[in-house]
Amino acid sequence: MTGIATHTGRRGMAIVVVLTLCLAIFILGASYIKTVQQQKPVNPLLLAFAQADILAQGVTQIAALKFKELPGPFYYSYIASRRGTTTFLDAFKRDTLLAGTVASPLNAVFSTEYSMFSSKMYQDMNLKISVAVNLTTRDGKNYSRLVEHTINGIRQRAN
Amino acid sequence: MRMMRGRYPGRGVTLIEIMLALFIMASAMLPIASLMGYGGRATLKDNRHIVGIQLLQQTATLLLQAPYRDIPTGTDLAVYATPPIALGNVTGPNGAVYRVLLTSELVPVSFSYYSVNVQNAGFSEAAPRPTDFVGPNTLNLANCLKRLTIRVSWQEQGTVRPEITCVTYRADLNRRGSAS
Repeated sequence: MTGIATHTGRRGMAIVVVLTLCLAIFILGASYIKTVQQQKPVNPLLLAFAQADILAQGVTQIAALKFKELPGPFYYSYIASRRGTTTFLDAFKRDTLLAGTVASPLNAVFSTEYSMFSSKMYQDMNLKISVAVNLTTRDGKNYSRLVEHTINGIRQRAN
Repeated sequence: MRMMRGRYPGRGVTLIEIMLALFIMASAMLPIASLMGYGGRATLKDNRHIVGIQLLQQTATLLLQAPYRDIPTGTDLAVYATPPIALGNVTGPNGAVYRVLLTSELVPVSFSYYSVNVQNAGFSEAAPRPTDFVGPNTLNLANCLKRLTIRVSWQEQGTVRPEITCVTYRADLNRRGSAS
């Protein structure tokens, strides 16, 4: 009687164990799927970040080129803007090469800002160039990036 | 058999249970095993994409630092003379082969600005007046700016060939001979 009772008590155990195992595997699988789903959207962001960064660095070079070609007009325009007349500095940074768009193969809008600091009239020219890029990815998401580049220079009068 | 079943009525049922349990287990494991395979393939695909982005970024950074005159102009250039910039077929650290192409074109430069008449009576360097400004003027420069388009593509399973692109500009900051 004791043996039969033991067997009777074990009835249905296997299915319980297997269902428990299945549940455990299901939980593992679900968490794995969740991890994979969370990883997927990272790539477009990485690409957008790289594209915006690279474009901003290029525009920074254009801004540096303009500054190197026209240091005097920039300098006086900046002083005038600090004294309340922004017309001349606005004109300086509104070129399509400094504030424009890239339509193909990217879809990006960019703008440039100049700022000077710790300057000693015609001796030190500490210039900060800030380029803001707003990039729209293929799936319509906007991504912004700001790249700042500082130029520390010493101005010398030409002989 | 009948006698055995009569004595141990639970035995036969347990065998069926085990078989049923194995069947259920196998049914549960099969899709999960295939999912694991899919996950592995997705991870590898992701890795190829990330390495492609890194290659794109690396090539662009090197081109932005390269001497302006060393950068050739042309469409879909697959050869670059000076290392470490590598164009054409590049093998990534993951073993995948990437195709890196450069399109470089000269961009005409037109800068607008206001000049300052420093000869004006009462002109002060520290406080230029609006009347001291003359313009707007335009400065046109040739052969001092290149627009660089870098394309990186690689082979995925089947005929799929993803491609990623970036655009940047390289200016000739050394055109007047000073350090750039």
